[in-house]
Amino acid sequence: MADSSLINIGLSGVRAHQAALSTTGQNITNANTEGYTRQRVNLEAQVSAGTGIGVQGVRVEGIERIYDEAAVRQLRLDTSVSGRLGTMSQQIEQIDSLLADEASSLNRGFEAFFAAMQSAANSPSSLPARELVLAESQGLVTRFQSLDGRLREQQAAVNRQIGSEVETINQLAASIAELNARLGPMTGSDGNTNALLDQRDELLRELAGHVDIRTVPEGELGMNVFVGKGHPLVVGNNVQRLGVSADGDLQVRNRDGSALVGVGVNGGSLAGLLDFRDQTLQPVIDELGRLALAFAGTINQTHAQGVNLRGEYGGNLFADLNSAAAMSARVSPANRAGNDTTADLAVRIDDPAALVASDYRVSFLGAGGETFEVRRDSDGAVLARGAVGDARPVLVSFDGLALEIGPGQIGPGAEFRISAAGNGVGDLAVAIGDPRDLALASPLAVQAGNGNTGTGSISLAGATDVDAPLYGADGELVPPLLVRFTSPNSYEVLDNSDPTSPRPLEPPLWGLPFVPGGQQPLLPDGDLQLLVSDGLDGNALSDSVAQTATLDPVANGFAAETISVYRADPALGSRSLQETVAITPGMSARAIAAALEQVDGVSAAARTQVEISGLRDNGLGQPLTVAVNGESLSLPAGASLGDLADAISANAALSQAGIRAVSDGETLTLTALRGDDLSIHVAGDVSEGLTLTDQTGRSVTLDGSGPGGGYQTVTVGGSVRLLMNGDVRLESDSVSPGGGLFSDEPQGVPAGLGLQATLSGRPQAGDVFAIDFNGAGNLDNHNALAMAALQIDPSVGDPPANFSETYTSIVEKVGIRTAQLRADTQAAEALLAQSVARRESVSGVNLDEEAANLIRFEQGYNASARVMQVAREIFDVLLGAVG
Amino acid sequence: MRISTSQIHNQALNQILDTQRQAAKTQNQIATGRRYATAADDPVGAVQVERLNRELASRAQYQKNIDLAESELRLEESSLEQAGNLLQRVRELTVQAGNPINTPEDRAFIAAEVETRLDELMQLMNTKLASGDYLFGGNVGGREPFVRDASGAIRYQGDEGQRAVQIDGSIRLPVNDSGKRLFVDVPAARTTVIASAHPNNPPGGTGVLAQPTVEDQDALEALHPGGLIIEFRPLEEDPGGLPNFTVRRLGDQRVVEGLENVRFEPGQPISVAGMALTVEGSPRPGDRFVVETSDEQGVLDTIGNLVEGLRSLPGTGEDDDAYQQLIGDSLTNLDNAMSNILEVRSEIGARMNVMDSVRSLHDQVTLLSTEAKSEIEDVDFAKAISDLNFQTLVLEAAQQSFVRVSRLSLFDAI
Repeated sequence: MADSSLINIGLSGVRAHQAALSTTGQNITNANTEGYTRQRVNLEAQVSAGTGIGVQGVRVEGIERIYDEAAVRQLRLDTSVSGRLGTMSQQIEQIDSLLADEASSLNRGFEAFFAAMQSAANSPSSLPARELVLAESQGLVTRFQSLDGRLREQQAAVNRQIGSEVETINQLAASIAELNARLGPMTGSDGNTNALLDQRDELLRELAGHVDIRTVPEGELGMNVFVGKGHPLVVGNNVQRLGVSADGDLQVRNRDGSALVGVGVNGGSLAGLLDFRDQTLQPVIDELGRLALAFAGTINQTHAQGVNLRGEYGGNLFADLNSAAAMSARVSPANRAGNDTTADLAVRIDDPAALVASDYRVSFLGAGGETFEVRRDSDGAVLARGAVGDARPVLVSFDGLALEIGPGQIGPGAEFRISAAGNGVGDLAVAIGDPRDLALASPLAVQAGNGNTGTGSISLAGATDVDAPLYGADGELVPPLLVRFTSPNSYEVLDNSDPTSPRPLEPPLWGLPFVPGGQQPLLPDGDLQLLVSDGLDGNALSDSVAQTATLDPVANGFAAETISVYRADPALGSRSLQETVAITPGMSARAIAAALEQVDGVSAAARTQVEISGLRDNGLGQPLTVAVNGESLSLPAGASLGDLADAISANAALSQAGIRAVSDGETLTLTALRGDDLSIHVAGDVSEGLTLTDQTGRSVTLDGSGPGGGYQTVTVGGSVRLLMNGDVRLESDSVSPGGGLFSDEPQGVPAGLGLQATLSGRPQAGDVFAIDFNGAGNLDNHNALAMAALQIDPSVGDPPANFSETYTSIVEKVGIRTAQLRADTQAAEALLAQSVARRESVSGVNLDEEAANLIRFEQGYNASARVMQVAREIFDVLLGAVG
Repeated sequence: MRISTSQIHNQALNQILDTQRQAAKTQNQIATGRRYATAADDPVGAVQVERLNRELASRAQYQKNIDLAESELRLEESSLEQAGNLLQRVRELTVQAGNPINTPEDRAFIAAEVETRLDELMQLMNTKLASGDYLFGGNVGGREPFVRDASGAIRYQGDEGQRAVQIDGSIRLPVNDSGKRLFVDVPAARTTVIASAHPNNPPGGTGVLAQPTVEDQDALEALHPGGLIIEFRPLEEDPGGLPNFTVRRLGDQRVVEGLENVRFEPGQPISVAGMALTVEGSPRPGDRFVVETSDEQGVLDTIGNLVEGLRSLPGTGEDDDAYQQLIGDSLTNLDNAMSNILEVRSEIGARMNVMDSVRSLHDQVTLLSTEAKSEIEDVDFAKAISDLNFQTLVLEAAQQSFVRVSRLSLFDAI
């Protein structure tokens, strides 16, 4: 018994060491196999079941994979991180070097464009200089387009790559599922299971490089795989395939296969591509588009304010951003209900400088899409909400855009994508072909009057609003304007259609203040409101004729009235009372203006004007006497209106008081420039007198027919002219039938005429400046300078930055992101190297170690064989003893 | 820690690749002379360089603009200098003409020379720029600024525009002065008149108001400042249905006494307010002509009047006063014209000074920006080359040691 057991012991040793040797061999030969896990034969002393010495040799307990689950998981995680960053880094480097390329830099394009514009400003009549502006405009457009084109090519390539990533992931998932199927029936650990497990681990590692995964073991050897936020990819033997939607978003079928849901992934090269596309590439495309629109829009705005060599208004230098085609191309349906919608949606660009580099989504809610909501993609902010009634088009304004919802059916739940900035470069084109059409000149020219005695001067800043009626016709101003100084510190603006007899504008613009020697804008700003009282009930001409022998003025007919001044807050739709101004009965327009002038945001002036006609002086009996404001005027017998005008002009006290009389012989216009009341007193025979007509056309006749003995007096109140800030509202408590000084809720009209100029120097009363259309000024370069000045205008960017700075900031952003990704990628690679090292240190094959094992196991084998030999010798000895 | 064989290889290989990458980057820096290739290598530096590039480009453009402005101002300056010389000569001739010993023949000779100078001056005032545009037309470069109209009067066809050149981000420098400012708006010794057709006259009329002659200066002074409108009235307002006109005052439109619906005799002077107004041709009803008084007289008119006076006034007897008056007025007006030109020339000088100081500012900034740019952008060659030496040394060492270490194997000993 003993000897046979010794043989068996030896035999078990030989067998065990043979297994150990072949495992070592396996390790050695797989030293360079990716994902191989070194194996070790675990030996175990064999114990017999019965009693006795009990030693029964050795046995192979199992072949163990030297494996550290934590190290493997860490490795997968780091592979995902590194895969994502590596892919992003690789992609962004392409944009970085594209933008770094001087040859394609937009800044060189901007510089060339503005340099050409300055050259054209230097020689505005030169056709080659103009030609150069057009060539550089085209050059800039080409630069925009080629940059945009390269970026879109990369976008297409990334989208293709995303597709193939998804395909690779699906294949890997299928292979893992298959391995799961093969491993299913197996148990324990032997060479075969180890090899399959190694294969699956390697597939999982590879998968982790493409997408971040989480693994959950199932049963003894099975493994379920989840991606992103827990979407199952492999469950047992089954695979949920990933897919890409039409919008390029990642999606997967639900567990029951019913619906597609979006998948967010955070790691692996797939996440890297998606992140790059959505967080870096698309924003750069949008920013470029925004810049293109801001550039074309602002240049167009200024260009339209000029006139070209033919004397026509400039129009657009770059293609109209708001052509019907461009406007509707900015909106596209984002779902089926959107497709079914018949209402036309279009997006207009109102303020190119206010655009934001983002897409938007407009969703219609309710059964019939009655309400809408506009959401900005970049930050998810809701910008507008509202109802879509039947009154179309509905206009929705946000971020410098205006969405027009036209008439038609809107599907419930319809969604649309609005892409304004993204299409920007596509909308860019030069709209002018002939260099003569370049509008380098101002549409305005100013001419000082020949008889001017002062040193005042007007230097034009140019047109501010080409849509103003002033520019309604080609080749002329409607109407031409005349600036006339009524005193060294006050002027009026008149309609100069007939230069020999200028008329007031409608509404009139007079009493504008000027500080001699100072410098100020000639005209009120466009956002002010102009309001002129009609004095309808104020000039109570007919009912205040007084019979009085004295020259003392009587009260004008102004009734008591309180004017409340409000400030409107358009954002809240509310208003707040700012001040009240009380008008006492008979208060002069001058005093009313002075009171209103005190109110914040209101500037007021007053003027009184009355027309005198029908002067009858029979030169007999009691002589006709006329007094104005207590000043008795000396008239010749049989006086005419001309004599009366001359007498008024000759009166020093009246001149001092700013009272002027102008007569053409038919009528006499009496004006109190400061808005004082005008009291006219007439004395004479019954047949003598005159007729007064106020600005509203109502008249009264004064004559010597009064019962008190041929005296009559009337006092005329004046008009008040207000310039108010845009948010000022007035309200009156007047109970007069036609309203008080103003109407009940007087509405101002925009005060701007659509042009601006600077007034300076020391003009004298009577000095005039004519502002007319600039037809022949081929050397005028105002508009060219204005366009060239846009180069350094910081208002086009947000935060404020000019065109070049905006572009540089795009380059900078990409540069910083690239540098950051380089650093991150390096860090991730270092971490990955560490976790590879960690796994390798546990599971990797060390050839020297295996060589040592080889020697050890060979020795063990030899020794075990020797045991068998000894057993045989013992047996032989025993046989010999017996035999 | 245990280490696997493949790890030994990988680690060594990674280190070699890393060192190689660094060496290649340094080599690229040396080859291009630039410290970085893309914005990512130095985002902050790249932005600064971009800003400096813009700065340099705009300064270069401003320098160009200054060169152009300078050439235009020099042309204007030299034209004005010549104009000044001509006026000086005319002044000398005027003084000479004032000498009582002159015979009528002498005066005729003087008149002839003054007339030559007048033509010369007019040519000068119609000087063209290199671009073919007229220098003194304001912004109207496409037509001669000074022309003689049908009645022989000289009219200014330009405007009052002044063109500016951007010579700095904030400075726009005027590069021209209108002929009106230089040669027309010259303070006159006495009140003068300017005649023109009303701009709203329907086109096609042949009526022309000739430059009025002043017969009674005092009556004219009484009108000043002001003017007259000669308005041709409908034919039916004349008893005979013939062309007739009404004269009104410009300011208040009042009819001048006795000049309402006056029958029109072509070429017959209308005597009013000390002036003789002559309408030539055949004006149509509705045509209006305007006479404005002015404190100014164009220099060409002054010289023209002088020539005419030299020829028409015999300078003896009762005309002598008028003659001396003419000489005196002409001298005053010529002096005013010369000082007007001098004033503009000193303005041009001031502009040139601004230009020079702005130009030297641009030069300085360009120099500084170039230096700053080089500081950021250019490679420090000494450093780069020493870096490269060191990196290649490390690389070689890494390669050699790798070969050494990888050669060690226990299998060699079995």
